[in-house]
Amino acid sequence: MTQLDYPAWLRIEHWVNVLFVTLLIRSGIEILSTHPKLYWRNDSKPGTEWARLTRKTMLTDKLYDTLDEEESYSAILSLPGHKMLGMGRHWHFITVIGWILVGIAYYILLFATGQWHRYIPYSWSIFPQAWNDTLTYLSFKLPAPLPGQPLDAVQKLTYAGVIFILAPFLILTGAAQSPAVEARFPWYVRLWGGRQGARSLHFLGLLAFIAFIAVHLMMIGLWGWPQLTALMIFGEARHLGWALTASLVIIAAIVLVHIAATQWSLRSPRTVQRALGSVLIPARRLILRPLASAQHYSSSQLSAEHRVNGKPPDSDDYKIMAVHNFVDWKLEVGGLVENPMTFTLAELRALGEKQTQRVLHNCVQGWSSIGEWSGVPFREVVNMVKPLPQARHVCFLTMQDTGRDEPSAEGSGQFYEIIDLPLAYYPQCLLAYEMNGHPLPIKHGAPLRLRIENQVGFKMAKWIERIEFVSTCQGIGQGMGGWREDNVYYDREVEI
Amino acid sequence: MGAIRPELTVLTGEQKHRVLEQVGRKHGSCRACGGDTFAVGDALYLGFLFLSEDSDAYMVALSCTNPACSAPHTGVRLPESEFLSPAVRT
Repeated sequence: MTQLDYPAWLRIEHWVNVLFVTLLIRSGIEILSTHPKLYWRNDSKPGTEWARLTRKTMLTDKLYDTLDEEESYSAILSLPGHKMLGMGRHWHFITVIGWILVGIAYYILLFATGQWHRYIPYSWSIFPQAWNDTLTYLSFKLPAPLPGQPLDAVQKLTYAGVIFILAPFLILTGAAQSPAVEARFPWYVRLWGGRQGARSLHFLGLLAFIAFIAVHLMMIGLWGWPQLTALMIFGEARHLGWALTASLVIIAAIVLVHIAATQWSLRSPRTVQRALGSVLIPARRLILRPLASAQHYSSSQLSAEHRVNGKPPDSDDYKIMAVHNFVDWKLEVGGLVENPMTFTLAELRALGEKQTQRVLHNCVQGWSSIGEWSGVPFREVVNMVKPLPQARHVCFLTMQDTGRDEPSAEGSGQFYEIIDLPLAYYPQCLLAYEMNGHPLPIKHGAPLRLRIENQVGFKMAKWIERIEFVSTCQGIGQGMGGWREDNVYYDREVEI
Repeated sequence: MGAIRPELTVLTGEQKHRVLEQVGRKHGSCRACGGDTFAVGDALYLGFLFLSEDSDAYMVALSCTNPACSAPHTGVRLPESEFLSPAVRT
């Protein structure tokens, strides 16, 4: 049998894991803080949350949106803290990539070197042995390791559970929260009880990981910090004084990485957005972009009340248009096109056959709702205006002025979002003028909003007044691909 | 054109008459042609949807009756008590 020692790769992976897991926990808490409520049902209906990590209460005599519900957590708890969801997402996803790659290498090496024997039990007798070990721990004594192995029965089962069940569980429940995955494989999100089920289970997995880390640290303390850290640094229990020092140095280095990531994100979020985005954008385009929506929820699954992110344009022009049922509203479509056009709402309604889709809406904040949207497939408009060869992106300009209309959001100015032109041809990319069989409500973007079902909600511009085909995002706002990308440093490719 | 918006309130003849009274009292005129005769349409409750609005505010649709008007659709902001709630005669 393989000697179950501490080879160098195992020791290195252990410490890299400490860094990655702690980064994932802090950045995950940042993501959670943006909608600090957990649900089991897809509609995220206010009042149905099973956990609230906020004391905020919303007044109901005015329209409030989920930006108003956002919390600002301390940077000690979350990465980077202070309501910086965009930064939290960048750190979470870049770390996930690293964690998965390290995990794959770990699995391969475990099985290639026979070290898997240290974790995977191959006799049922380990369970009564684990029970006896538990009783020994409860009597404040330390049980003996299994014969010829470095771990006792409880430890072996726990590590097996963390490595082969909990870690994959967190990755799988994380993937179930990707709008692209949900859109292409609706059955997959149902496996987890729906979008909010996956989110809640992901959170419970986080708690399990935190509990594991706490017990792990306590056990190391009980068994002997210098001895065990010597095994995980030098590979054997020698130079205990140096091992203690080295372990503290390694931990200090990990803490420094956290401090650096936090400070970098708070002081220079644009450079973090660019640097981490240079890895994340191609990865998402490669893995998630091909996933086109194939969602068709039943009418019985529609959310009674679809949540809202963003408030309507608070201008007299908009209100007068609305009270006249938007008969004076016009959609201008231009830019890099052969045939610039202007449409009234009636003209859009008369364009071809109305397309209807019942789909799960994913907000970047984590909440979801199911709605039925009807309108004209965007590709029909694209085909009419005929983009020029140099057109690469489509910019949706809206009537919302964020400084005036959305005090809970950082930044100001006209709201716009930009999508890559190929997305316009996706089957459920829709210019929606109806919701749930009625004219699109004002709070959901009347008279016209975008639906792209493999993206998170903020890309689906509401209250649209102009569509512009462009060759580059440069020159539009800060050039990062949309208002949220420019002002709150969100990621541009939001298939997850 | 599509169905009426769910946010709109259809006004009765009496309510429309009260709106015109208020427009006259405020010397309302068309912002496009300056005309002062209007047809009254539906009302939109603003108090809930829009941040800057008072809780009892409505926008009432007005259409300028001047056939030469280039932009006949306009509106008047009125509190509920001035046209929707039962009139108080003094």
